[in-house]
Amino acid sequence: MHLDVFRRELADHRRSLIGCTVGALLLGAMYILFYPTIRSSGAGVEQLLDAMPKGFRDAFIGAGVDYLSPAGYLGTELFSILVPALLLVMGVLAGGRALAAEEQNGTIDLLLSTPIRRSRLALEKAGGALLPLLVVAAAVWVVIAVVGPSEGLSVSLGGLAVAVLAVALLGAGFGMLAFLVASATGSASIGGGIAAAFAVAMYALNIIGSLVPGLTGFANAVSPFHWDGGSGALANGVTWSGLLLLIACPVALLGLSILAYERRDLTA
Amino acid sequence: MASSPAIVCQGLTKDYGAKRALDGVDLELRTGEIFGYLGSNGAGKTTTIRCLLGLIRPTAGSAKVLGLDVRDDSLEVRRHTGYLPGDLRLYPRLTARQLLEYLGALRGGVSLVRVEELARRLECDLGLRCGAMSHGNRQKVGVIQALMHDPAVLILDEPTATLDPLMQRIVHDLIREARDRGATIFVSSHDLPEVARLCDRAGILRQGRLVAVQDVNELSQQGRHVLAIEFLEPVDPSLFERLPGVSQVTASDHTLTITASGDLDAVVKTAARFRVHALRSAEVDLDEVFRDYYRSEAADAP
Repeated sequence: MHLDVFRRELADHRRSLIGCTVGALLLGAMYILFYPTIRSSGAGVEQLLDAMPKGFRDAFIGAGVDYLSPAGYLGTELFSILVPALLLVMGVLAGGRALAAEEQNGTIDLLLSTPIRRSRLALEKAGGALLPLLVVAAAVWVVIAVVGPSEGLSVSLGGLAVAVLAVALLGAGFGMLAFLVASATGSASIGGGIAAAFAVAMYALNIIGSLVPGLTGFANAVSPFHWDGGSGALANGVTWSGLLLLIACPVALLGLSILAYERRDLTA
Repeated sequence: MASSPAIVCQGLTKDYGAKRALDGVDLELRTGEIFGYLGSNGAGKTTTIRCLLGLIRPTAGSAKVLGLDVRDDSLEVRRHTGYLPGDLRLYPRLTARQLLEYLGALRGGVSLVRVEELARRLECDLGLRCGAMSHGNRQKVGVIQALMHDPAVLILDEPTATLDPLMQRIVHDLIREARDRGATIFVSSHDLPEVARLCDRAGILRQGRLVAVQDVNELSQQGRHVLAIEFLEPVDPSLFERLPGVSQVTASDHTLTITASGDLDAVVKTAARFRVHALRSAEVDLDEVFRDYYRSEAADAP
């Protein structure tokens, strides 16, 4: 096992990985450096937030979470939209592209004329698409752990690790959905498009769930954006069931991808 | 030559939706021969080859390479096969050397000495990025990767289509050397003269059906000649129409285009009675060979 395809996949996209990692570090540092200013304006911010409908407040800040606390602030600013969006876009683009690009660029004939199993090719490609998500998630952890305390943002590092892992898994899930559709169709854009549309729908469902009491149970069960704890991930933690679902989805989707890919006629 | 066949296709059939791309192809390649797979574009040559490599699955029928089923034992088939795709695409950002190292690693390592030797013979600069290479140079890299592990079976889809005549000859030499060390070579082409020069036997594929398998010598005898003779004086075309073997004469200005099969002696001797400015032999049209083949097939029928 030399993992040649996996290493090739990483090497081919190292520039975008470096870009995303640096972006995540800068973004994290920026929000951390804003914190003292926002905390000092204290009561005004709280008033503003209390004027929001409770559902919105819960969706963006987390149920029962104090926005001005370190966990509340980081959760709202980084974990409600920014970091999930970054990892989701990375996952969907890489997942759609990894296998299908070989077909669309016409290099699959050359690659699969070597004695490598399609299942192994798919596994290594998926690994190459997903590892960058962990790298960027780790970068978020590092910048909060290193820069946070000096600005008054001290959070549990273990809880933070679980929160960034959950968001990485969220990106991995949608990434593997893109991977599945792309490996079944041979088209990166169909894979990425369907996964992106599904992600938007699930995000909307999560918001609707917190606004419409009758839909809360359904939305929380179905939307991966609830599973990862959302903005409350740091203050309230990530549930075991949520974490398990976040792990199970990409694994199951990867398994289906391999089944679909092994049975297909590859486009010339 | 009692050894078992290197490649066997039995009733190999491939449908794309309602279109039948390959229709019950039965084929046997002897170990150690160069087999030409002739057909015009879209005849099903590439479809056959991609079935052999397990890239697509046949709708019906089966194929074996070195006795290994191409579906169940695809990995072993590919381990012992070198393949040059017809529509060759490389990774544009890799240098030729990086690409060959990558493909070599996926084969469990190949001899760099062999790679360098092939590159030297083909005059291929391995330091160039594939994306910056000309068509011809990319094709050379494709030839190197097909040959670098000295496979027992070579499957080459239109190997010399984008190469200049000098390089064509070098590639032909490499193919013959592979045969001489015992490899079996399956080479597709739409170019009859190339097949005639290179191959031992050839099969003709037409609209997905294998219509003939013959010794190459027989095949070229069956082929017709097309001669264009440019005279320095007006010449009556009817003089040639009556000659044995001549099937068609067309005239424009002082040039006569004569289609004939078999012996050209009478045509040349008749032409020699006039002042000849130029004489060209056009490439034999594959379609003509097919038509001839069908004609003879129809004549044989009771």
